[in-house]
Amino acid sequence: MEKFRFFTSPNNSSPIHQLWRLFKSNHFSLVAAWLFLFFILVAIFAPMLAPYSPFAQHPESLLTPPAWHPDGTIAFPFGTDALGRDIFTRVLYGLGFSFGLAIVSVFMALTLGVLIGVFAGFSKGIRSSFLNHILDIALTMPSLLIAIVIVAILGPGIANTFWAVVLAMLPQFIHHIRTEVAELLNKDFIIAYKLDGAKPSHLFYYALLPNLVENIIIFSTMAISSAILDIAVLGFIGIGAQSPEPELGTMVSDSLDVFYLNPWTVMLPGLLLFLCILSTNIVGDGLRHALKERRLQ
Amino acid sequence: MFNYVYRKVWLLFFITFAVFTFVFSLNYMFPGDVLSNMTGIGEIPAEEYTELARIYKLDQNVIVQYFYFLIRMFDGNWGQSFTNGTSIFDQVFNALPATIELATFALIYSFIVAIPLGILASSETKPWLDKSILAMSIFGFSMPIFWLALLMILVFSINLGWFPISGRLSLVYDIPTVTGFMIIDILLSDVSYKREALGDAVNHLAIPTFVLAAYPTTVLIRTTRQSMKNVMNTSYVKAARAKGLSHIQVLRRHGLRNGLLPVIQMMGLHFGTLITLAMVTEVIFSWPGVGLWLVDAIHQRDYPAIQGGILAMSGMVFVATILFDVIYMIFDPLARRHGYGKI
Repeated sequence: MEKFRFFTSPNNSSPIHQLWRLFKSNHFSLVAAWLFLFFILVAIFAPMLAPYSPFAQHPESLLTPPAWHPDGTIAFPFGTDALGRDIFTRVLYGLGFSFGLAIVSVFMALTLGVLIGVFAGFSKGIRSSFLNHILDIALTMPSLLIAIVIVAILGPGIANTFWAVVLAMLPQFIHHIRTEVAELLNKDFIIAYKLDGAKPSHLFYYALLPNLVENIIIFSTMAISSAILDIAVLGFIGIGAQSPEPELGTMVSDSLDVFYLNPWTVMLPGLLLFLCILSTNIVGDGLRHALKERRLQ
Repeated sequence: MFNYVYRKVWLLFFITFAVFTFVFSLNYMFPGDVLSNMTGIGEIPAEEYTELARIYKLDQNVIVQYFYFLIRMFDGNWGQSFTNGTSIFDQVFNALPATIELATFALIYSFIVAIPLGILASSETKPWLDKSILAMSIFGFSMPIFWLALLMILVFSINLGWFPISGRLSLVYDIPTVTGFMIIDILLSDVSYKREALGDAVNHLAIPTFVLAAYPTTVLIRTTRQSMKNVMNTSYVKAARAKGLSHIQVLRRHGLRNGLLPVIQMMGLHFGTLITLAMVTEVIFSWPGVGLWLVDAIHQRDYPAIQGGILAMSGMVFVATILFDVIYMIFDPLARRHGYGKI
């Protein structure tokens, strides 16, 4: 339906610009986006910001409460754990492990997923059908279960966790990109490109990629939140990052023994983990919503 | 319809084949001796080695090995555990009912909570309700399950003391195992303390169920809300309204019947995640299910047990997914029409 627009000028800004304008009109998303950026910066600069080494133990002050508690001291803003390690430092480093590693693993899965997904989208006939069946199987398995299986094969450790999470996310990325590519390939402008004599590589670079980018970004944001959760859960059940390493899930499970008397040792890393996932989810939701609204305009 | 079920059965067959192939290849992928991984005997004496290798067809090529592996699997001979030497098949099927029980209760709970909330959120006359329910659902979605569990334990078990911290049943009660499902076992048993035991079992179930249900509930709220919004905007609902039906009547006769169909589909898609989250919940609450057992096996590098656990878990997930799919097709003839084109 044609709307009568008297005061508004026609919208000539670029699609990305429109998306950003719609995105920032939702204040929650904007706050979450700033929080998300803040976490990324902290994850990168943790070694400079942290007052101590994450492994340094302070035997004279075991289980100090956080600074806002009457018994707390400002030397340890978030208190110390059962071995006298500064929780603030460990949490900063933990962001690098839980949040930073999740983002890196999503990038990794994204790169592989785009390569395989585009290839799959172009393929036809028996090759495509075979791939479909394999994907069907891999997609039915939840990513965390695949990650657990891979860690079980490779053995525990943070490097193996990384690969497990990448491989576990890969089927979803391949499936998503394959569907998108297959859908795009039926569009008229692609046929026009083809009639102009574009090679598949040109088609991919000039026609498919610009149309895929937004979708990929939104999908990746959602994938980051599940990657954070997967890494943390693997750490928590003791088959991911191993004990002295400052990974947030591992920190929570390390402090379970003192949890009843000193709940902050568990609550603070958990709270940070929650904030990471929450901000990622809200950003992803906001982006998806903005994209939907832009398509309606 | 028949055609559709036939396709699904064929898919199940293909999946079973693929999973068995994967589990068989694990024998070679795990570190350590192949024969040890297959039999579950850690240190095989040299004089028995050739004899065992002959029984397990290790002297023949991989295809023959695979077929004998399949025969062993279907016979229920899944090898024995490295750590305690008992049959893995028995261990898995002793632990499985506990997991299924927990997952079922969580699923039922999330249905009861999520569908009314989703319907409330879909109403366009009350946007504040919609916003608050959505905000709650995104909070629940972002909550790391183990952290939520610890919070619940801290508040309800330690500070308030209302619920026990771990386990399925207090050690005071002795209930003979018949089916492995605690509630059913208690109801079947003829002990004098039946009522107390039932209360205790429900008490033990409460927090794990709530924690496990957090994720499916949020997913269901979103699905229900979206699909109810779609249904309420269709012309047949408008026609029903114009006919003079009250809100409740519209909801019952037209809204729910069509709006709840995607919920079934969503459940099928998320059942696998539910089972994985059940594993984590089991670890926190020391719930004696297959998840806790599998995590223990991974810790102890008990390779035959890991194989058995993977087989059981993935088998359960696949069968449930396909079952939900078929149920969805039975309920929704429109989806069936789309289903013919693809697998």
